[in-house]
Amino acid sequence: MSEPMSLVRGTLDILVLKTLSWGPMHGLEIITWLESRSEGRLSIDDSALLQAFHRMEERGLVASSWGQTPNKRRARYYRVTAKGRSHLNAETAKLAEYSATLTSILSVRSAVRPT
Amino acid sequence: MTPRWRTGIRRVLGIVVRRRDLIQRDADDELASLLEARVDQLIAGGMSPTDAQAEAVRRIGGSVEIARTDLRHSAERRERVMSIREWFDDLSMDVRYAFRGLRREPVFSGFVILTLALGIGANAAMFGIVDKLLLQGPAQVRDVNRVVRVFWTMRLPTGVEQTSAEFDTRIYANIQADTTAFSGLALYTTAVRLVRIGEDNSARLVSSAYATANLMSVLESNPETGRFFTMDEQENVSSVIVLGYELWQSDFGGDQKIVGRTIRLSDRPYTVVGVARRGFTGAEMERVDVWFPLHAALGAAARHWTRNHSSGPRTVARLKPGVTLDEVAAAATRAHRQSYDGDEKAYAEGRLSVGPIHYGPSGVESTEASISRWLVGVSVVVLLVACANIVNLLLARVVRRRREMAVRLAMGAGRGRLIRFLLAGSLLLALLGGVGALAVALITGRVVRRVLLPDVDWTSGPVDGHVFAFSLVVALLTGIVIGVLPAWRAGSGDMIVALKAGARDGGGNRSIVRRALMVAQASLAMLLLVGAGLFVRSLERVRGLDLGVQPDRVVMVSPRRLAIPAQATASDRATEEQRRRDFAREAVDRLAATPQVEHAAVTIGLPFGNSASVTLRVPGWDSLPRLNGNDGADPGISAVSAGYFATVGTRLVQGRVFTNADRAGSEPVAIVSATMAATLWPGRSPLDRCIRVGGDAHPCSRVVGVVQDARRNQIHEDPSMHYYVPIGQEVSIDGTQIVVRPRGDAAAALPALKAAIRQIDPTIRYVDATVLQDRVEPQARSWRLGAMMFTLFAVLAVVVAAVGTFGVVVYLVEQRKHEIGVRVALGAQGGHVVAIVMRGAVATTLAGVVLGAVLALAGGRFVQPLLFETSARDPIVIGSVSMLLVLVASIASGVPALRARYVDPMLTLRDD
Repeated sequence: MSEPMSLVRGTLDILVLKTLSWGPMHGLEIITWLESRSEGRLSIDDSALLQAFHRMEERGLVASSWGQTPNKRRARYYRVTAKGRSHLNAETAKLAEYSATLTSILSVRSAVRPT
Repeated sequence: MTPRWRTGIRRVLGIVVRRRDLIQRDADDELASLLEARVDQLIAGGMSPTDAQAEAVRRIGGSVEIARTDLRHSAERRERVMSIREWFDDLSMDVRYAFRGLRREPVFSGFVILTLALGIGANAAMFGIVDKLLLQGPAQVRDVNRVVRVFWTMRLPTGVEQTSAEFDTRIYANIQADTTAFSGLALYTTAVRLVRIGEDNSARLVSSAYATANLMSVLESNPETGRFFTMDEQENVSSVIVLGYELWQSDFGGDQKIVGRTIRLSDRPYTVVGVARRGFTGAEMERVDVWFPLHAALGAAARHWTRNHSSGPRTVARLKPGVTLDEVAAAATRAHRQSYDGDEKAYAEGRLSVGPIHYGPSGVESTEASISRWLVGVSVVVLLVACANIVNLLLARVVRRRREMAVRLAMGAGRGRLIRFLLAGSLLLALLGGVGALAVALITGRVVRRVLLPDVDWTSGPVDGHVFAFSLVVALLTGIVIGVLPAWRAGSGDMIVALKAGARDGGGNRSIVRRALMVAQASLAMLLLVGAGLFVRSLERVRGLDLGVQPDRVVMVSPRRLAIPAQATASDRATEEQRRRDFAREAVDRLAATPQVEHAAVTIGLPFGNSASVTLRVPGWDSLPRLNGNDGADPGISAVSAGYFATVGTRLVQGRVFTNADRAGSEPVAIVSATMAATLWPGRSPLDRCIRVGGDAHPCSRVVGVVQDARRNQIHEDPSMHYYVPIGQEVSIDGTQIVVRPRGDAAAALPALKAAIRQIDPTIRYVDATVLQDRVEPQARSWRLGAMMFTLFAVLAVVVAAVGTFGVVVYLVEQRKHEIGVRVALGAQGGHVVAIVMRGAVATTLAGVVLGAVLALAGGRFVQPLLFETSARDPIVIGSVSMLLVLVASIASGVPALRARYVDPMLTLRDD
């Protein structure tokens, strides 16, 4: 397991949106889902994540409402909006292209090797 | 707790601003629920509760307090941004929906927009006029509020105080030298069309004015190119001119090298020293094409009074900062009285006053300015009528749409959203009306300018930045005014009832508002109609005046020739004078012989033209009686040829008119005016009496006839003594004029008359021909203007009110269909149904008429000074206008009422 890595700015939103594309979730569910998918390599504290949700709701990417968890606890549920969905699609395409470009540059082997 | 009004505002604006503590609590809850869930999760994963707690806190960053503060901030920010965005989203939806609503009811929307366009447009047009006349003043003048006119007031020998803008230049020289309250005083004359530019067929008269060298510096205006005059040019007679911008553009193509060029005006050479800025008209508003230096010497000699007193040019001044009009007037009066060394009491006791630049020549606000003030009031009233009317229609529509509103409310639209939705609709209507208003203002503005202020040199079109901004503001205000009441209604509680009930009945208090609005609009329409009636009657009285001449039938023809050179000898001068007189006689004979001319005559002295008086002695009178208003002069004299009275249309009362046998050298005869005959020989025959024209040394002129009195200068003046002698027998007056009475339209005959004169003497450079009416017209202009504009606005208001009444009654009939159906089913006659429907509308109109009449009677004294021989409480005007309004209301309500007869009881009853 490698070191926890920090996120490129704006990527967190994409990850959250991707997570929510499976269906509405409350805060901890999103966090757990992200943690399990990244196998613990993402280091974001919970408070920062909550603030990110607020920011995304402010931008109209997600919408929220209070609901009940299966364990009968009150929790704030988030769902992705139409705007959020199209944002996700556009950004995913961009990120994929970006990472492909990066990979292709970085994977070029140097022609001369020191002996 | 938040005060009620704040929630009220929020409700109206529809902004859902949640209270801050609620937002914070919400954020805290979210954090707490996350923490709890995390602890649960960790415990489920096998941690002890204490460790789980610690781990959960670590994962939120180590401090619950910091996390809470951060979350509160981000939550507050989110709410703020979202509420604003929501508001705009809702607004754009409202606007889109309002547009759809407009399209769904095109007749209704079209009528409302048209009404508003007329109402706002009338205001915008009047604002444009007042902006120029009262606020902005003449163009190219800086800080116009510090620029003032100086007036001279003195007591005439008759005891009447007279204030005038024109006074002796020595008064000017003295206050210029001795007062310090002005930062500058300049003299100028008003523009006249006397200077000829061009030759022969292309020759035309341009307007010119004289001004002292400092006019531009007093008004703080700079020339477009070159300079204004120098003191040297002012003090010594010099042939320099400054051109007006428009003439420079039209005749010299805006030539930048015009300065230093010599151009010919009226056959004399002048050197151009500068060009004024575009629209520069000095302190007046009439266009000036050519400025000449006004010769005004200011030295000690110029300040010394001799026996001769004269009137001179006008004075404009700039105040020093911080001084008031009264202080300046007192200082100027003091300076004049200290310096006066002449011997006339009236002058020694004369005083100076100072007034703002929009004051007219008699020291008070000009008639045009007062009338335009009135018209602003009138146009506001028109807009109010339009608003009352539209509010009524909108209210009716709200009721018509109650079900829709109720559905919206039931589906969870906040009351605030509903109100805002309706407001958005009315604002949209008002803004569209505002756009139409600009078109209305453009057209109305043009007409008003041409009719009201034909001489003003307008620098901008009727719709400029000011007018545009004004229209926008008025449109927005109107939108709010017409929207608030219907929106309030719609938001009121009984809406839910509408869902339950069949939404048919009108509801009591709503119809009170509706009635009040109808009464208001009828009373305002009544006010305007009374105003229009009063002005129309004034104008009728003015038109009906027997002036003693018929100015609309008379054309003055003046051939322009070279001035007799100043160095000519007296005999040369007399020869030239005689030659011109001979020409005039010949021209008159030849003109009178042409088929398109009825009569023609030669005259010295003409009503509304020039007049003169010479010493007159009448046997039996030591000194002639002085009539009212005649400030000490002898009776006026005219010298006329045989056809004169027939030409100008003055009736012979007694005796005979002159014939061709009455000429120089024949028996001296005279014709007197009716007033003169009645004054000098009361109760006795004036015929064959003797008057000595020129004094005792002159022979008797035998009175051979009496003619009716003719006005000399004003359409409204006291009759004065006047007499006529045959041309050739006059004493020491000159200035012959040709007067012609063409057949048919006088104005149409002008080109033919000019051509005829030039045919008789081809050496004449230019012929000026004017219908005498043009001289009279300006005196009747204020009544004509008042009659026209009041009538226009009143008709507008009545049409708006009538269409509004029609609309409301149509709606009422629609609403009462059920009731009418029941009545018809129970055997009501058609006439009875009509009566029920009309009764309400006619009754409210009557109430409005009575209220309007009371207002008109109460406000009468304010409008009285603007009327001509008409009482502001003229019963005929008030009576006929009342009847007209009731008639209009009957028609407007009668048409839908008649239709109500055909309500099919079966159809309406089946509705239930």
